[in-house]
Amino acid sequence: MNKRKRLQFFVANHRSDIIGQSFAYIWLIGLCLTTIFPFFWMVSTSFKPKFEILFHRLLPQAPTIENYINVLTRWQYGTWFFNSVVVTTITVVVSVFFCSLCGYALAKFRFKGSKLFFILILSTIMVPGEMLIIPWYVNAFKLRIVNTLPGVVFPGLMGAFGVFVMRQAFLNIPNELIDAARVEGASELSIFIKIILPITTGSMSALAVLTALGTWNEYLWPLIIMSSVDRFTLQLGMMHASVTDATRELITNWSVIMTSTTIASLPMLIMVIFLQKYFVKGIALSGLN
Amino acid sequence: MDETILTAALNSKIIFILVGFFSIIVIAFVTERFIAPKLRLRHRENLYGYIFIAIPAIYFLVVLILPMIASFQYSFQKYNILSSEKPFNGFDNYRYLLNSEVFGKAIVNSFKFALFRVPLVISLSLITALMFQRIKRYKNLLRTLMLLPFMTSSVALGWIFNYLYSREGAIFEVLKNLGIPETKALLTLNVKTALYAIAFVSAWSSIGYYTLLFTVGLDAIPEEIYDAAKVDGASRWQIFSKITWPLLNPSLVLISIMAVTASLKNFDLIRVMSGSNGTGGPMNSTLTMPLFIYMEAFTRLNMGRAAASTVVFFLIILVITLVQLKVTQRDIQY
Repeated sequence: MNKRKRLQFFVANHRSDIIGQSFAYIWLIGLCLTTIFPFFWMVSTSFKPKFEILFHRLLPQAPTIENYINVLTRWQYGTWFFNSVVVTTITVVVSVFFCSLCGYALAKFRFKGSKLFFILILSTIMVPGEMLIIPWYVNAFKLRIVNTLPGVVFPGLMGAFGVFVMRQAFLNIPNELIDAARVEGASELSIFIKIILPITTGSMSALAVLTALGTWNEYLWPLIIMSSVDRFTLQLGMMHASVTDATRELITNWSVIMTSTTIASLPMLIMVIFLQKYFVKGIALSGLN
Repeated sequence: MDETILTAALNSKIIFILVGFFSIIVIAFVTERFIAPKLRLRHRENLYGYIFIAIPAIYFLVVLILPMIASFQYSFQKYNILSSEKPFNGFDNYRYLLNSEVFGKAIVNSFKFALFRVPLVISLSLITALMFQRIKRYKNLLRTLMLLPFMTSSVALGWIFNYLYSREGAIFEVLKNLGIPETKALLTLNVKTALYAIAFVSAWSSIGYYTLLFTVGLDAIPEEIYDAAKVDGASRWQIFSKITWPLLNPSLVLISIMAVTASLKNFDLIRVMSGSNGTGGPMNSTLTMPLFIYMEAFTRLNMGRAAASTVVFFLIILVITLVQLKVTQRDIQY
């Protein structure tokens, strides 16, 4: 290429780049508007008095918090929120710890049967949850843990995905580091807890955020196992409240229902937006397998 | 009831299980302190391997592997959770499913759902991922906003769209203003459109997620190939069709199959949005396999039949997964 030609190439490339970029921005911003709109509509409707539902205005004309008072006094959102927090916390803590433990053993110890065990764990990914809920329920029934905390948390305490992600993270740690600690006389458990866990916090946080989100949003299993209203998780409670509210009046009072969905979804959404970095990392890790 | 979620259910069996786990931990500490230092390294590695995986192995066995086998067993039994007798009845449950029109409809609906949702979400998120490659600023912000619906619970999303699709909702209003008659504009109450209306919500809510997966795939393509092509004067379309598309193909296949499996497994959104209080209405037009399994097991209490339908469901998913493994084992050709 001579100089002139190269300049032409550059200019042409640059111009098409600007057009391409603005097109990309239009597409992406348009798509984002469609993803924000329902949430905006939800929050906006939750502040509308009942008669304004029929007007389809973007913002409430006479904003009111009457719906919130109504919903919060009639339903036990506090209890449901607390239940969800308890269930999610237990699941995340147990799951991250044991997935790390298992992943570490599979990555760093060569023991008989480790390969077979790993394959067995991975094969459970293929089994759909729908297949397991029936035996889970039957056994929970026999153990008399239906409608209790142990009953609702036990299926989520570990998963093949978590073990896989943590094993992947531990494989990247050089063996020399562990050997050095062994030479120093550290025991294996203290190596794991004091040296290995602190350097894999990235993967652990990613796994924790994904697990927390999954548990918080879980609907099918709590629906099956929980039967009394004061033990419901937030999702169950929201469903219960909305179904009842939807059939209470002749014209559905959507502002009350949107208040319920706002109360149920906004806290977690805000939290996840702040933890988005780990969430994205977790998805990137999940794409590896 | 005075018990809260924290105090209920500490019955003898649960305490027994907890004591079991606690004793495993105690044994682990004792071995670590007194036995392990006396062993040679090779034996020590064996021992520690088993100590570390003891609890996870029990968990995987008891909670994930044995129940799967139990499912196969139940599928050959006449099993009602309330009666103590559960006689084997051979292939009766399967014969029932084979002759059941409703189950056939559930399978067809599941595939319809997947076949509508997957192409829609895959094409949209592939385009979106390619657009993300072009821009330089505000990437994180746009990505977060796009992920919002994916991070929201399906129950909340379902209710938002129940509202938007309803007679008082915005989507109905728009359709009515476009001149569509009222009976057809109520998408979720119409037998022909109800399933697709739900599939659309499902597709829309996961665009952000699949975009991220595609972005991972696109980032794995080495930059040098693009630079070389640009220097050679390749047009954008040539770059896409000759480089990006072929190199992205393996992850495209993988992501599509993940999307198909996820669509078949979708329960929450369908439960929240389908008519007649989430039982697959109108006229079973939104009855899919997970919903059928749920209702067979927990409203009609036929654990045996439900187990048989989960086995069928599992075999369908297994076939799809095996196809996925077969496809991804093909070599990537540069």
